[in-house]
Amino acid sequence: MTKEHTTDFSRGATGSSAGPSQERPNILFINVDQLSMEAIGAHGCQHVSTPNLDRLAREGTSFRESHCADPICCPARASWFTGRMSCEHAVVYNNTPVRSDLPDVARWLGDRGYEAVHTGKWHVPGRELVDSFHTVYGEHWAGEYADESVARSAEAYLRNRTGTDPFFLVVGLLQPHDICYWVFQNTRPPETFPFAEVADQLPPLPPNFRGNMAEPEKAKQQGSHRIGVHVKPYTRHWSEEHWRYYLWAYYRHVEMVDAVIGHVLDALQDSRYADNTLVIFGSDHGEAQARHGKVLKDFMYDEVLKVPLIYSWPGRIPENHQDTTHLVSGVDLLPTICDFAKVVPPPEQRGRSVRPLLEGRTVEWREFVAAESYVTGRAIRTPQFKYITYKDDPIEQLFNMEHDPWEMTNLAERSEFASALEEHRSLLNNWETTLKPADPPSRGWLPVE
Amino acid sequence: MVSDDKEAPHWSLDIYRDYLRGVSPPEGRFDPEDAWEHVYDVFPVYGKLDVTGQAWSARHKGALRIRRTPLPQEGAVRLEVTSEVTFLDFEPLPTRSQRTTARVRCLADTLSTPVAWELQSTAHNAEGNARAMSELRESGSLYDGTLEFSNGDRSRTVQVVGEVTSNWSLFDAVHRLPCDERASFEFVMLEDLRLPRRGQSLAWAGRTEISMRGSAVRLHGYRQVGEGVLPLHYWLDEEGRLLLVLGNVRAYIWKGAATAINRGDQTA
Repeated sequence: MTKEHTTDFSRGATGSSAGPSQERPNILFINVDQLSMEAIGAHGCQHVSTPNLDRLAREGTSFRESHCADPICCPARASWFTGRMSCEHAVVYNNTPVRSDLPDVARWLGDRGYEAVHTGKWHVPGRELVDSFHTVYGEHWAGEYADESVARSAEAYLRNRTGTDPFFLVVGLLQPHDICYWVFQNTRPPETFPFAEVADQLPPLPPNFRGNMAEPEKAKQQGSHRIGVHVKPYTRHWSEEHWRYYLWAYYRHVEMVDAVIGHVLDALQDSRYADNTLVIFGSDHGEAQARHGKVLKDFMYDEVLKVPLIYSWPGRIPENHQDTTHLVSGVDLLPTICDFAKVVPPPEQRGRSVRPLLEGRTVEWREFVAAESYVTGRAIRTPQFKYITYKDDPIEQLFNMEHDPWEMTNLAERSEFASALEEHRSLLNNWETTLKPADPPSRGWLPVE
Repeated sequence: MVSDDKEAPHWSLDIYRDYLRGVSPPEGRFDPEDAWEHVYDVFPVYGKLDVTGQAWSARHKGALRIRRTPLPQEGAVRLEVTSEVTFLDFEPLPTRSQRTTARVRCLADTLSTPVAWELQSTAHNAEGNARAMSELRESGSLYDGTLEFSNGDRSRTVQVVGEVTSNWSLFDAVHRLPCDERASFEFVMLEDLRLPRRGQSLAWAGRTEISMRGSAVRLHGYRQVGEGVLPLHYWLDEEGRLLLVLGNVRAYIWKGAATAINRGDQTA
């Protein structure tokens, strides 16, 4: 096994004799940051060109009811890699450290016969990459600056690798997350739109751009996990045209990352691992895209909560298939990876392996997925409804997702939906009783600057 | 000396104004048709700019060095490029940077069309040593609308229509463009000689003025938009020398001509 650094991996490894085979596939997890479910061509977006993600979708199965476990980077990523909800792994905000006693999937597989390799964005605070992966390449927080280099390190690994153990390669690409910086840099746009050549390409605003729906206070603040920093003032000088330009710019960010994904997929295709590698593609959370008049992330509407999730393994997983039925969650990633790797997952997983769904087996599936935000925020999504609540906030939200996919009409105060509301409160309460929240730090769950 | 409030620079320069006050402007004549070697600092520009008051992060800057050699007998030019991307260094990561070198043969035409190239990239640790399994060697060519990319014994072809340039070719080509509205081009941009970005256009962006080391520097510029890129601005001085290329979170800022800087400080 390749060891690029001095990390001690003599931690009771088992099954290390397993080489790459159809039974224990290599696993390539390509993840991006801030990509919404509907922001790629394969999912119907007409304002973006994503030939590589479209290709991956054609070569695999795409879950269209895929939800992140928490709509902000660090918590969502900690849920991916530990299989636990935010209140349990303790990464309740960005930069809050993960519980040290929870195993992550990289170290778990690394101890069980896989070569664990990471390049690019990790962002699981409190867990050093070199403590979980055998081989680690660089990390950066600006995608336009560094994603291409991250992709090159992954390509080089795939083309040059000599190891015989199966690999678990995580490629963390940052885009389209740079849209955050774009927003910060465009708070006072020029009075006259400066790019006449793209004026006719600006996407239309979404139907729920404007609304007068009452929102929980945290949802109004949207993205203000840092004390005193609220996102809304960034957009107060924006004209309708600038809002549309923001959408146009977001899709250009998406195109940037699509291109580097293509390089990684090409390298895999050219390598001797093409036939025995499970490719997983996901995004930690989505982007507001002007829906509900918002930018960025950190709230519970679908534009941020729903994320693309594609599994591809030619000949093993149905190709060109979109699963529009099953509700899946970010916490399903770890048990799914372990299932394909033939490794028993760590205990107390909150998610489920989606492998039976990918293999067309008939299984009884869950009736809801849950998400958390900001310590107090919770969402429950059932096939028909979504329920959103923040502790200590009197405003609850209930949306009929079949009839109101844009989440424009809050049904929580309508008497005819009282039973649905109560049912979802109960689902949430029952779900919460199954969790084992981490002890808060002595200073409490304070935002970390 | 230029007064700070004499004239607001073009909006694309707003967040760079303070930094540029500390950058030395180039001196002397410049002949874009001649041989030259230019070095740029490459900055990731990110953060909550107007909240923290921090202009932008200059901590993890990379570098770009481009050397141009005219090949007049062949109607061509040779570009030699060294690009270094520096990664975060606050974690004990074994990779400090990724270095890419390229040797590109271009036509001596308006957009410095790349026709044949070789690329090599390697990850390096903090001591400057190459990381194991990090080397990529690639080559490519453009002929009659067909791009061919080769990597070892594998190759791919991509058909393109219209003019073709590369992001590095543009560092050469903009030197020779008209300084007015006649500068209007549409093309495919081969990014880092690996990725065709289609539907690109380059247009005149006007004139402006900035302060560099106490001197007023008149600039003229071009803007580029297209698929897979955020609008880019190219700003050149009155000698027609490219000083700034400003994207969304990636900015190339003039460091110097190779003859005027300490090569030992550079990454090439």
